[in-house]
Amino acid sequence: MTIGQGFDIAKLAGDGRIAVGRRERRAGRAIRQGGAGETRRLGGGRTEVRAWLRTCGQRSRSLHAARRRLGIVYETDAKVEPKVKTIATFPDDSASAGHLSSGRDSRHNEARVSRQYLSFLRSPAAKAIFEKYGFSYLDQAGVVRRASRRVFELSPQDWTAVQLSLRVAAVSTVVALPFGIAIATVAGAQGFLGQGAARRHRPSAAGAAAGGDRLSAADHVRPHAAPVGAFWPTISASCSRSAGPARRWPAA
Amino acid sequence: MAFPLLVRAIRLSIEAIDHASGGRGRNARRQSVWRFADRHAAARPARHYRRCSVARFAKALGEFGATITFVSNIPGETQTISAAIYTLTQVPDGDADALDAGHRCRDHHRLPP
Repeated sequence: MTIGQGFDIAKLAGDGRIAVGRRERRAGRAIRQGGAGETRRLGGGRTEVRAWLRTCGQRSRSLHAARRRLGIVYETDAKVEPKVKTIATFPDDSASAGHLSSGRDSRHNEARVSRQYLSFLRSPAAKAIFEKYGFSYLDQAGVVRRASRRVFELSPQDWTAVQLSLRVAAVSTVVALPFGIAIATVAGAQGFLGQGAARRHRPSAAGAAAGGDRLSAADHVRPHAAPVGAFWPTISASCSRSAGPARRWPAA
Repeated sequence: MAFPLLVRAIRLSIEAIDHASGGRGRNARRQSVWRFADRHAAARPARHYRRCSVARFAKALGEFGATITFVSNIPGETQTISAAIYTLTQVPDGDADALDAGHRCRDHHRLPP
């Protein structure tokens, strides 16, 4: 039997029913529910039949569940199901020639599984399985393949780079931490030139509570050792509410 | 290369004790380094140093100059993330791939091992 232009599927069905798939029902959902695709008595006009044929790919399992003698299923499913006998195949250029695509779920908890699934689909093992059951592998489907490769694929070299960066960063941080603490401790204990001026103008609740006498912190710091340190009281005297601190440091 | 970031953060953490202790740090500066370390550096909980390490870790993760200088840029051997991105930017039309590499590094924790 050949399916082509003018093929009368209603005549083929006779008074029985034909199991067909429904466009909005996903294959995974239909399998999970164990349900059949939409069944419909065919006796209507040709346009109606044609509309159905456009979406009619379905699992052979749902053909069984619908208890139909005749149905339109994926060729690959018909191959693995011993109870299904293929009587005709839709031509490749027809609208019913199915294209399976795998979608990516953007939800986080399913993204990981989705990536694992996709990486398996691209593996040589999956390619061998596909070809065994009649799928042709579209290796040159440029845009789709390139897009998926960009997002999901990490070559071994890429993984080495990521692992190396993480390892170097972690080890260097751990190694540097004791030295960093030691040097920071020494630097913090010794102070720095001009620290007195800096400390004096640093907001300090303790200094305010002690009556505003915050300058005593800088007593042991040489105020004129650095040009900026010496210049600072001159600048800040005009800005400060009290001229006291500036008077304590004699002019250079 | 990220060592100054670490030292600076730790030092700020240690010196912040001066505020909290009501100016006791003034006296501490007249003490020896060892006494200062005992009273101040050792008084910081571990979480302070952990937080100080974050900036240093992030900087080390993107380290480029020292890595490519000392261990070169051998793909699969010594190539790090930043060196890989640099390599991609050196080839024609490689900018998009470099951008992708950045995105992949951002998402690497969600990829299967």
